[in-house]
Amino acid sequence: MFKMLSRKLLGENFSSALKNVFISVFIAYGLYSMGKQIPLSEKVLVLTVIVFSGTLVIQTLGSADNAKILRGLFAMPCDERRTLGEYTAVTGLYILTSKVSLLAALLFAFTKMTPYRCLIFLLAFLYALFGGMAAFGNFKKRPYISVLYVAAGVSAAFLLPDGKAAVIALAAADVICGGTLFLLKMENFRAAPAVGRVRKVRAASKPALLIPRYLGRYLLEKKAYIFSTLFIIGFAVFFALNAEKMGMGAACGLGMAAISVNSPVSTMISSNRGLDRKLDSLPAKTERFFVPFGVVLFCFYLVCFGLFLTAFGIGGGTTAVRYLIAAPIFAAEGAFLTSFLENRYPIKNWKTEADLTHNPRKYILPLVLMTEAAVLGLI
Amino acid sequence: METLLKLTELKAWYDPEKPVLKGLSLELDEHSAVGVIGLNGAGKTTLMNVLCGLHEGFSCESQSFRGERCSFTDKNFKAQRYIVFSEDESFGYFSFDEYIAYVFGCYKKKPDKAYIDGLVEKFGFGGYRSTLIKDLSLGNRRKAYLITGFALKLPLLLLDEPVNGLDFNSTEALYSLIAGYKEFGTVMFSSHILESVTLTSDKVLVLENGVIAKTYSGGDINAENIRASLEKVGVMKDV
Repeated sequence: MFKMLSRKLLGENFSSALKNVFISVFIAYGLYSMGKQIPLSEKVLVLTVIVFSGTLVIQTLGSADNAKILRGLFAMPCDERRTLGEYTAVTGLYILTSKVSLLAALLFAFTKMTPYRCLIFLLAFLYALFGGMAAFGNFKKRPYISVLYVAAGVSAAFLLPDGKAAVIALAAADVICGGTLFLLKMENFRAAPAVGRVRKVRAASKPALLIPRYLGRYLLEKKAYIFSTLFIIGFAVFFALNAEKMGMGAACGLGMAAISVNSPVSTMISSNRGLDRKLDSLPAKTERFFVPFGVVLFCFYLVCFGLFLTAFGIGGGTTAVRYLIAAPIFAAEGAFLTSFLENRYPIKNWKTEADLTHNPRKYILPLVLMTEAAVLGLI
Repeated sequence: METLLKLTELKAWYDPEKPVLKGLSLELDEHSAVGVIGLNGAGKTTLMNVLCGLHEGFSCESQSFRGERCSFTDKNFKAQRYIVFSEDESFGYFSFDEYIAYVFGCYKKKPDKAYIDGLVEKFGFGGYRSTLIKDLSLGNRRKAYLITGFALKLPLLLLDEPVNGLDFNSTEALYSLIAGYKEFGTVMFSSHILESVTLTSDKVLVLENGVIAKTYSGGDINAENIRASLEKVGVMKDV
């Protein structure tokens, strides 16, 4: 079980996981060299780690990809405790190396991470892992228990005592959460689509609306797109507000540019191998698919930038007129580049979701927009 | 009969050291039905993928469509053919009616509604036209893609393992459609099922070890002949 899952999620001989850690270290070093430090309380650190990691745990366990991997497993008899332990270990390693490592990179770059804080980080991550898994496992039969886990996770951050007591409290919470997790059975983690769920739709009346409607349905159905977008907007607002307080002129523009580091959206076609192949096999894929795809992305980015600017303004940031003008320009660039790259240079031969998430191609758009934002900040 | 598609010395690989197709030559006549049969791993799907421009690792001494040189990725060639994949998870958030409207738009063709309705009825698909493709069963999903392929009436229709997942009635409907497709163009399909090629094909190609080991046509296409011949090359284990 451990080998099978780790090969899929962490790559052959942990190659994917190691690559992700290396990228995170590289990012951390790059950002650290900027020499900017943001004060961050332990409570905010714990809350960030728990919410970020917990959301990822639930997202990973419920993903269609995961359901596919586990389909065969559920048909076989297994040693419940051992299998659950291995499943927890692989899921934890996967989330830690592929996603949480990026959060760690930011924390190492912009805050003071002492060994004590690293321990707090790790304990908070374990709490999110155990709590997220327990919340997911209980959801089908006892959803109220799942709600309790989520509530306990958030309140743990707010009620966290100061000093060394925080370590003891988090370690105790990990033991309790881990203990209750192991009362569950593997069957509780089955994430198959609802049987017999059939959705009928009315066909779009105009051919031009076919692809926008298709993508609209796709985005609404795949919750990962919404969660990841909301999270990244939240992060961008937080980052920009802090950067502005530190006197960075381009804070608002950089915040907008940061939103374009949205992996699910920038790899929407590459992540769907069947769609990518079908588009390649059909004539007129640029006119019939990638042009409307670009239009949808333009609207999508425009909404994201609108939300960002609103939240940034409410948070006390300065939204100069030039940023209001830049928003549709950034949205158009984002739409064009994403559509162009997905059309001409789709990511093929990926094995794990992390291969998509950390493909260097993803950073082209953010780099372009960040450069422009930096120039805009000088005006 | 005039030649629709001609290939000589087609080689295709995933690993250049181990080619899957090893110098295959192929000639498809206009308005014909061609069945391709072979073991798992013989290269049937690779051949289909090369023909529809999806497989990058290949070389071909010459390739022509209606007597003119062609490229499998060229838009003009693409507009002349359609493929139904053996496994397809694309456009799951379209209903069949939306999918067919989209595909016809790609080929710049106007759907023949009466003909499509007839195909839908033949495949017993009437109740699923407005269901999202992702919510359809494997067999119904296959029907959606097959109906689209037949409705387009293109000069070349490629079907990769079209019988998989179909019920008895739909299989019968498929056989009659393959046999009747000559009216519009040429259909080339791969199959593991001997009956599917003997009942429908003008020509049967046995794919073995990366080349066409044997070709049957006209009166030679019957189960006994093919079975006897296939046993020699070891294909019967799979048929």
